[in-house]
Amino acid sequence: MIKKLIIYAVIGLLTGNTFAQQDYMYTRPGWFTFLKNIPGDMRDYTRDPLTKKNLWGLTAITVSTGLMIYYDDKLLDASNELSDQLGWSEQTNWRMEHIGDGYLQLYVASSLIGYGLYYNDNRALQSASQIFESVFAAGTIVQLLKHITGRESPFVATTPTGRWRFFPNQTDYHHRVPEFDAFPSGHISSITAMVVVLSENYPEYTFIKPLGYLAIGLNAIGMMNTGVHWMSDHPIGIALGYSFAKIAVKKGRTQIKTSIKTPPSFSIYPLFVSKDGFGIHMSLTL
Amino acid sequence: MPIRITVLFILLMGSSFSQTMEILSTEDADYIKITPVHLTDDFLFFQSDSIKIEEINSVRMIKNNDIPITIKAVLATGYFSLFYYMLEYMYKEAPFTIPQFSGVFSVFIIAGTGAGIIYGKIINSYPEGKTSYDFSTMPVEEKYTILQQILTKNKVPFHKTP
Repeated sequence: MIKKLIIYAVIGLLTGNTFAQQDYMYTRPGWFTFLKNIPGDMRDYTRDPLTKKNLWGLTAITVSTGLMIYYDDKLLDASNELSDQLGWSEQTNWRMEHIGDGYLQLYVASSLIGYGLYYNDNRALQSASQIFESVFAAGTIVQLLKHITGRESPFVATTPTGRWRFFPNQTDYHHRVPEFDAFPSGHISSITAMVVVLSENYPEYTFIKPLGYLAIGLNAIGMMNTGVHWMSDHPIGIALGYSFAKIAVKKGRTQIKTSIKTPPSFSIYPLFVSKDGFGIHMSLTL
Repeated sequence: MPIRITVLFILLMGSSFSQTMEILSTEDADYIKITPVHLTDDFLFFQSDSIKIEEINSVRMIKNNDIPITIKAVLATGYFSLFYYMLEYMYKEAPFTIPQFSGVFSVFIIAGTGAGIIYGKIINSYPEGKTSYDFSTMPVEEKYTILQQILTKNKVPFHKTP
């Protein structure tokens, strides 16, 4: 019964038809706008998290990462068990892992470019640019953290939750990458960035958020099952992807402003709809 | 299997459409497509130009009808199947040299770009729905109110007119 209720609730939520009038203006981005924006994104990113309004988020990420590091081996077992219970093959887990490896982002962004150029749609072009921008910006920080933290991936782990070698020898790092590159997850940051950019720019496509969050979840589990990441590698990856996507979206569009006129009004006027339709519109603005 | 069904289900549920705004001024014979930027008591500013509200004769909202669910399902399945086909094929052939990698990237870019154009061609082949608002005999205050409602999100019932 509860299951049915949840299913109906989800259906209701997803079928809600949002007629989002485009509230933002999108200018056509240059071919390399995404690269030019990255230094500014980094500046904004390092400034924003330390503000008071983001304190809760920062605390949540820190605490959850800490707890997950403590229980990482058990969480990994749970993920493997889930995969066994659901009968996922190695190929299924591999496919889930590759949701976030950058090729999907390249493919989707290319589709947006194709559509945007062919139909002169700046929103599509901006979305593609923002995907590249946020994936590259988040990826830069992810790589920096990987090269500093030097954590072992699960499939080469020498301790139950993977050994950390802070500030590892960079030559060793590049010869034996999996022994150093687990923390944080770049895959999850790139899929998160793409989902956030698309959901922000296309709010009328109600399926993007549920489908996108499902993709992020599947990606996280897939990477644990293929042994490339621990659960605790994900919160910071998600936070980085989310934050850089928000920054890129904010820069890539301008809100349409309307001067607010407050007096209440009542109006009634004829309405002509195509194909010989005719109606009367009444509107009460409070 | 349940995952696939869930993914497909969620994909199909999303109902959406794009729309554009066109205005007819007292001086023009044809509607012009605009992207509104700012509305004041007297002027509607849009990208690259502006118009006095009292000079607007008519406003037309054009929306592309949503594509049928079956077409949407076929498109989505085809889109992601093509992606995974390319990805798996690529990993079978790996490892690559750097020049080969640029070739691999090009394949993904070309396939993605082509998919975007084809998608656009399909959705644009569906009929458009037009909703017109006759402003010709309306006082400026009312024009302003309606424009404001059109420009703000989903607040008035006429947005739902087919």
